[in-house]
Amino acid sequence: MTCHEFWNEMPELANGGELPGHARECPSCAILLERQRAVAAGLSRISRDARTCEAPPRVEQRLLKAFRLQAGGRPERARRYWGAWAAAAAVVLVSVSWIVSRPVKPTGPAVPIQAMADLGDSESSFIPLPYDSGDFAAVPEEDADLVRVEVPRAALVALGLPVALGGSARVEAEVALGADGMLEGIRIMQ
Amino acid sequence: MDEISHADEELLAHSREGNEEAFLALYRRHQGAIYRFAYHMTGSASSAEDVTQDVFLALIRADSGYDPSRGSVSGYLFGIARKLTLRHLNRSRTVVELDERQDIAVLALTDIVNPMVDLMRREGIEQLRAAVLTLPKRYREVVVLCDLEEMDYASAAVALDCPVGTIRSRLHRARVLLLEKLTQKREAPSVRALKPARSLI
Repeated sequence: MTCHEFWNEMPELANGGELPGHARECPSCAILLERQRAVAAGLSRISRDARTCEAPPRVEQRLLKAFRLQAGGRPERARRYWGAWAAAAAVVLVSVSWIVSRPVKPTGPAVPIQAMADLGDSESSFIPLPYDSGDFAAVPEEDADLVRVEVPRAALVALGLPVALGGSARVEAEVALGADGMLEGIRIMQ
Repeated sequence: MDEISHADEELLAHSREGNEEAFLALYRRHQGAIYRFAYHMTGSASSAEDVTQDVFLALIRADSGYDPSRGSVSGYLFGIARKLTLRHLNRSRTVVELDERQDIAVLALTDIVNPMVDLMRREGIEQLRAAVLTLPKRYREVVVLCDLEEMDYASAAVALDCPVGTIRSRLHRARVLLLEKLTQKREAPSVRALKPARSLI
């Protein structure tokens, strides 16, 4: 073995053990190896002396604080926040869609649903009025007392009756009077 | 993968899920070695404290970065510590000189040539410690990891991001440099130490 080959086996040889064959034959390599082993031994001594050397406790305290702060924004908590935001967003969406899609109520008195359904049937249909006895539909037109009148358009609108806007201020209509003389229905002639 | 590495990986995973106990266990397991590495590299306790803190802060803040296929958690932590330490050194540009008075004191006690005996003395150890701090960084970090922290070459290669062969050659070169530094320091003051004795003859 040459000196070059010998030193290529470093650094393991410097860590101790029996003197290798080449070092026994080559005095200069033996001296150098002995010195390298001295350095290795000195480093080992430094390592032993520092073995108990640690970071002061305040580092752990600071890190713990940072960890807790960081953990506060981690997935579990973030998921909780996302859930709350999603629920709130869903409530808002439902509310908005209900407001947008709900039917607009007329400002006047309520008109029976049946009467509203009858409105577009024909011009000749009578619209029952809210305070009628309920049997208006059974009253034959020919048996009723019909009176032709002119009604202010605004009054019909206020009652919630479907009257086209514009045109003259008054609308021609026929009203049906019951046996008791009470007004039971109205038919807009237009 | 050994049990310690496996346990470290589990601790790291739990720690990233927000498990405080896992984080503490990981910290307590590795903080000493990280602190000593930074201390031996910088020669400063306060720098070592800063580096140790920053390594684990980086661990807290990093979403990922650790790749089990590239090495152990320990190697990963040393990799972070190394970068932070080098940054620290570049910022502070700490230069530690061997204390001349210390050399003279040693030589006043002994004129022995045998470095083995010399290095076993307290003063010799202090000289060696100071000499380590004067090594170029690439050699210093290998000495600190392999000799002072007794890390195996493979782990050191991961921490320093270089092949194992590079670790071996740098370690060998580092020891040669240390020996040269110690020898130079001994020879220079020895002339001064011998002068008074010659003048008496």
